[in-house]
Amino acid sequence: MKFNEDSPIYVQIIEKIKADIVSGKLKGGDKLPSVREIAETFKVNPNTVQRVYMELEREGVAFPQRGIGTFIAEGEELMEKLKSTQAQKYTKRYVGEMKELGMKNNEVLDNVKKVLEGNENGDS
Amino acid sequence: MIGKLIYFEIMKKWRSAKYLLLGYLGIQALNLLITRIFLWNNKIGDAFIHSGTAPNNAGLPFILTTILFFILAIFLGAFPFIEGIYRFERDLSGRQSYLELMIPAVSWKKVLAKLAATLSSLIVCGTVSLFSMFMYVMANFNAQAIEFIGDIIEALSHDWFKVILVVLYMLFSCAASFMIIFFCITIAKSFTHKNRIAVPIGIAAFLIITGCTAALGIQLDKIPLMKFSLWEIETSLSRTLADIIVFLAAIAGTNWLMEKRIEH
Amino acid sequence: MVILKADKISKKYFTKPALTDVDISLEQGKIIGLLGPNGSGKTTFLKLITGMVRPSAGNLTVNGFEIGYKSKELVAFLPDSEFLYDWMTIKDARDVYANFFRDFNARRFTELLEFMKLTEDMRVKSLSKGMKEKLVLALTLARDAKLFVLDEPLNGVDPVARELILGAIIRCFNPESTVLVTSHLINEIESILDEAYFLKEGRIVLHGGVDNLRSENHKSLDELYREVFA
Repeated sequence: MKFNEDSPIYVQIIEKIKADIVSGKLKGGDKLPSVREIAETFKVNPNTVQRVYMELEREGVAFPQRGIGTFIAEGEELMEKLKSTQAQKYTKRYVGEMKELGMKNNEVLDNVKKVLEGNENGDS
Repeated sequence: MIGKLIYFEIMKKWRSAKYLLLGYLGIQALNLLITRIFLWNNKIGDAFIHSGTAPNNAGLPFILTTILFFILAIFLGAFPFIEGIYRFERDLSGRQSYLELMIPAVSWKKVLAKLAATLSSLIVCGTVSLFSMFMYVMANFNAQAIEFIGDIIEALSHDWFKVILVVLYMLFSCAASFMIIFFCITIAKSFTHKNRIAVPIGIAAFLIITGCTAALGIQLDKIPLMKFSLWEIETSLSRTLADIIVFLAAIAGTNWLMEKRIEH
Repeated sequence: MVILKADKISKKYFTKPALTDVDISLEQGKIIGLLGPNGSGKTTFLKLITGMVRPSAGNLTVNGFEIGYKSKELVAFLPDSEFLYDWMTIKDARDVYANFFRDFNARRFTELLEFMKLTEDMRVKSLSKGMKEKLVLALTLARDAKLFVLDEPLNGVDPVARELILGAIIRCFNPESTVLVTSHLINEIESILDEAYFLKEGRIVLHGGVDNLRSENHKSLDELYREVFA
């Protein structure tokens, strides 16, 4: 996994797991790999992974089963919440960057539309 | 721990010297064969001479082979000295000194292990050297020489207790000499690892220490506690005690320098 | 629990200062990076911990012990230069470690060898630089030491071997031990660190948890490093 520059690595792993849940790669009730497995595959400090799991548990996204492992929480409500917070987060990031370029609100929307239409026409 | 250290030291010596020892045995066996088969033309069947005459047509090749044989034998006897000093220097400042310093043991144990290993190699090489010379004489010289050796062995066997004492005395003398040399190397290395400077310091330290012990010896001879002699070796209890004290002081000094001063 | 405590450590070689007033305190269960360019004093500090050199001033303890053969029993050291004898096979090297270090775990060593794709009958003399690095790392990590001190484990090895080495460090890391690692390849090492100390001309110029350093400065450790040492 490639880590980008500005946010802590544990935050980036959390984002990745949440994205996998929203996209359906990870489903409610799935068992997450062990701390050690994640640490070894991503070459990250085990304490960092531990922190990821603690955060996920605190947010209610995952829950520990003593002696078995950590599992993704189930429930429509949680999924919806996750979907909307993640969507908001990415959109905010995009809008923020566009504002930095000096774009106005309607220009931001226009650009979104353009990209979406382009996607429908098959050239992204 | 000290057993493990001795084992490690002997292993280091064995791994680097085994080919030398095998080579020595090979060359000397060849030498022996040449003198027996090619430089003699009679009594080829006899492995050893029981009586009789000097080689009748030996000439220059025989003399040259003999000289070569004895030079090699003497070199083998001297090898443990050279190797022991070289190895000690390398252990303090060579590439492998990291490993030496990593080993969790107090320095005097490491020094004693090195000393024990060097003495063992001296015993092995010395025995092989003497034995090969003995073989050569047995195989190539006339009865007089052999009788002479026989007489010496005969004389010694009556006094085996004294023989053991003399051997122990000689071993202790070697150990003390090695220890003083080790101490001098350690002194030099605690100043610098640059051999351009370290070697003169080591030699100077050696001269000073041997000078002092010799002077001490002369003074002690004036107050001998109990004189005794082992054949030709005249000594006294006070002198022997002084030797032991010098030996222990060299160990203590080396230990202190290695614990407090030597850096890598 | 503090495993290593360095209190105002200074080290001079004759009159040339190598380290000045270094305060470092390492806690159990963490991987800590000591980062800085060549000649910044990283190796000198590691040599102090492992008893290869002695401090000119200051106090240094490992698990409460002054540096000496007691502390050497607790510290597994990976020097940055070769130190095994050429005549050794990997098996010989293992035997030497097993003999001298009571905490040497032969089973883990075998696992690590396999992981590193090495076999016991190989000769040290015939190994490439990268393979030697892997071997000494396997020897070092196979100890159940309190403190692992790794000097530039990624130096001079190709990217594939780097991945393997980082993997091995993570694999052997456990909550009872502490790892102190130096590197100037910040990008590679960053993700395995809990904490980082930046060492510049013998002084600690920056210290903190890696997550905090990132979120406070909005920069990766690598960028921060470039800024500090530019």
